[in-house]
Amino acid sequence: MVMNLIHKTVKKINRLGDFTILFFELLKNTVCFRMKLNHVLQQIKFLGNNSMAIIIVSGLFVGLVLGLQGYYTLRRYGSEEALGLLVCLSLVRELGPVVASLLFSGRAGTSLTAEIGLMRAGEQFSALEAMGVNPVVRILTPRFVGGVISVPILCALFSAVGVLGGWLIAVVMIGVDPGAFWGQMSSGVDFYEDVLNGITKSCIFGVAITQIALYMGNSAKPTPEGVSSATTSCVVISAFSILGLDFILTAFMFNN
Amino acid sequence: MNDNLTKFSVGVFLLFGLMSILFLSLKASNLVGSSYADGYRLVAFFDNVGGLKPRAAVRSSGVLVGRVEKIEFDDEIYQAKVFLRVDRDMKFPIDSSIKVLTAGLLGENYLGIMPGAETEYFVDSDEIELTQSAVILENIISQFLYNFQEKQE
Amino acid sequence: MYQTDKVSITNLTFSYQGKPIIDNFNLSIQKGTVVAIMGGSGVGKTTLLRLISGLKKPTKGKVSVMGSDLTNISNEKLLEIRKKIGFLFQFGALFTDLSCFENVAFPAREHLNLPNGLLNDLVLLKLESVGLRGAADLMPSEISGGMARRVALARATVLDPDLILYDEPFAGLDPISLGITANLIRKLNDSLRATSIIVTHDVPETFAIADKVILLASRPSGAEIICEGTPSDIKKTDNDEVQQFIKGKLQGPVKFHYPAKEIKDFLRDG
Repeated sequence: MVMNLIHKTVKKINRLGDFTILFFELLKNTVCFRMKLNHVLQQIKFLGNNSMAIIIVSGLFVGLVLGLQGYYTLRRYGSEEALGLLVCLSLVRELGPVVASLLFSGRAGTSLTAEIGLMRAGEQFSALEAMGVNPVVRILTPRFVGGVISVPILCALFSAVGVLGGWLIAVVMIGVDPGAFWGQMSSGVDFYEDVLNGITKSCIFGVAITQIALYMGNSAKPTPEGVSSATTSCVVISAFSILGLDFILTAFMFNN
Repeated sequence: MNDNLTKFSVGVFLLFGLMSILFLSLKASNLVGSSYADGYRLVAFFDNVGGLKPRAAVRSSGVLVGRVEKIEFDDEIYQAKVFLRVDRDMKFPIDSSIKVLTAGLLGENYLGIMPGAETEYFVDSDEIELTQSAVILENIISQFLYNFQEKQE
Repeated sequence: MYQTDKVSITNLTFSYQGKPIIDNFNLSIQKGTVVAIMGGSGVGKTTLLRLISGLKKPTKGKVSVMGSDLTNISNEKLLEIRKKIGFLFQFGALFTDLSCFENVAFPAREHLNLPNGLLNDLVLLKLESVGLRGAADLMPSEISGGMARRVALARATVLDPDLILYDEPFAGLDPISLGITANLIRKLNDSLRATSIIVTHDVPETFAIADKVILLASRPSGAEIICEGTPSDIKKTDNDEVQQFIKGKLQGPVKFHYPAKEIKDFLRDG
């Protein structure tokens, strides 16, 4: 029984090593620009553009709910004027990067994993190798760059739409004073400490979840069960990583 | 044709992203907002600045007239040295006083200038002599306890 | 011997997850010939093909292709050799997100720098040689399995390779497609003056086009060559295992039943 546990642990550590090796290879390819612009653009369209719908709708609803909940809570202390500040800070610091990344990993991450897994199963990777084309450069690197570029943009989009959603419910529907809403927000939200930190978080999340999706697909067993379990693992591990990294980054960044 | 469509949609996507970031930076945060960089500089010394931060507001009669530029500790006279910038168009008499005040329940500190009565006005690099430090909760409590004890005796 | 050898394998050993699949294997394939490697399922034919193409590395031994030792080679040299090898995978392995035209054009786009008009002509000519010029704009999901394999063949030969490897090219094809494919393999080999290695277990079609047949059988220590020669030589041999294979006999050295308890004892004891 103990041998089994040790065996499993060794396997997990091997996987971690594999993961890191792939990561550095992708990083090296990215930095040396070993990819065609066309392929990257295609991937940005596939990963970013096609996720816009879900991000915008979710962002809007999160903003609406924040506005509503925030209003009821702040009203108790007579601080409704701080609603704009509350909505914006919550979104920019936390909800934007975290929720948008979770949604991205669920929508785009899983499709990446499934696509790569199925390509492997259909021997497309071997075919590329046999033709003298490096599949990591041709297939994985454009997807990596596409994901890393798309995620921060989607997070910013989420936060912006969320703020508008908060404004919609607070000012337009409930009747909070727009001057106070925007005024308190713009004076209370610090560009360097809040917005920039949020953007940094989303960049780091982007790298993590794209890498996880690509690795899961690349190492999936070439069977239907293999691909399906890899897709599930992708979402689960991405979620853990996002939340874990979020905690570490928050502790590191917001400690004034 | 397909290629061009891809390039266009990616362009639109990036544009949306850029607009979001600009919106968050300019409208929703304090990046742009009269920086008073061309205002005149004043200095004030405080025993305790409390939670006053750089870029905090400087108000007079509640109206924003400037921003705190820098806060340092002067280790020769052992006081806090606050540099502030005031709007060029605002003139304050040289006997004006400055206080550290608290805004609302959430407790952000800002500086309030109470104008004096002299006919001479501050110029760049002048020092505001009359200052009042921030109200520190612990000091009030200990003072209250002290007074309470005294009354008891 | 070495000048006329396209592929030369010496003392090749390969194991997968502890099981020896190929052990101390020796093989040489002459230039310009169509050679068939046959044997039962799971004997290691596909593994052999992958070792020849460099997709897998052997544990021990030497694989020499077109004069270069694949086990001890730089990445650039490997790339150069790969450009001269065409590999046809079992179900085609076409890129599902590209059209048939784009699939065939792929190797040419990656390795050559042709002007668009010339590339267009080259790809359409290759598709014409497999009879699918009319299907150039269809996607792989829109064509049948047999057609997909022909497109893959066009893709494998677009750079006029010197060595073409086929992994079970006849598996799952209808009789007409079988005939067409076999014909194409022979014609292409001769017109390109190439060497072809076919891994298959389809006896009649293969015997009709192969110059030499190598029959493998599974042994506990790995695959072993039990017979090699021209198709007519093989048909005349009196080796039981060979005869069972080529005639498809039920009885012979290869057993029908997977090892288990005797049926009489099983029914009695349960």
